[in-house]
Amino acid sequence: MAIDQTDITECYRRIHRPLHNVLMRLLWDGPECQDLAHDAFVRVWNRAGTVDRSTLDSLVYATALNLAKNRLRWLGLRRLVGMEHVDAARTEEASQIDSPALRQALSRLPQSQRIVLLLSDIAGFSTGEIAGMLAIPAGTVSSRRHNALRRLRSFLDDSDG
Amino acid sequence: MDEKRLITFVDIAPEPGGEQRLRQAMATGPKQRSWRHATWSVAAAAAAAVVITASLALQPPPYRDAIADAVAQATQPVDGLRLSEGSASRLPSATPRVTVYLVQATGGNMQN
Repeated sequence: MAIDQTDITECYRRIHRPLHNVLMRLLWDGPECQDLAHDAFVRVWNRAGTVDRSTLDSLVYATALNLAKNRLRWLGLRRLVGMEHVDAARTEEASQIDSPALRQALSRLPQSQRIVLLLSDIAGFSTGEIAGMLAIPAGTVSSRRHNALRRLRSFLDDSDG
Repeated sequence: MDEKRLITFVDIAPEPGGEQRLRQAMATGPKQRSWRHATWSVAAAAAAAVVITASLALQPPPYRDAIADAVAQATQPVDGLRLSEGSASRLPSATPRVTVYLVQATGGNMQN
């Protein structure tokens, strides 16, 4: 069943805030996360004729995460060739998110584990929903989250001690 | 999720105005990829392929000189000697059909 503008608008109101929180823990840049979320909604809207209402939330999340991964790859490449400079404003903004220890610990997590943890603990998706969204088995989702929490706890303990 | 939430994340509020921006973007309706757009993409890809193929075809292969050298060497007359930085002097032979040379290298290459 195709979706219309009302579906997208309702979906925006429903998931925009948690989606923004998830993206912030990947990119640590407010305006960029907002642009990225906007692009994800517009991309889904452009395929409105083929999108099912029941999978709309997951589709927006999956699209936004793919865009974020591409962005991270691009930033990594720029950093590799020395084109990316540290933006003071961006650093200051990032410093207001979570505790410094948690921020650092999150940054040290492998991307696949971090995404699963954020989808479960910020966005509140179930194991099955995350599995469908990322196209991976439910067991993999559980183990990634378990490993992410274990590593996160270990990083945080190290930073405390 | 089976495990309790053990990590507390700060809730970050996005800047306002996002919904308005999205409404504006949706106002013109979904942007479908037109057949014209697809045709241009295919044409551009084909043109790029032609340019790459032509430039590869016109470029001499890197092994061409090596092949030319090998062919030249293989087609040398077999009944003679070619000396480079050396000397050969004919010696008297008792057998008429046998020619004897004294070949002395002077530090260069000798090819037979």
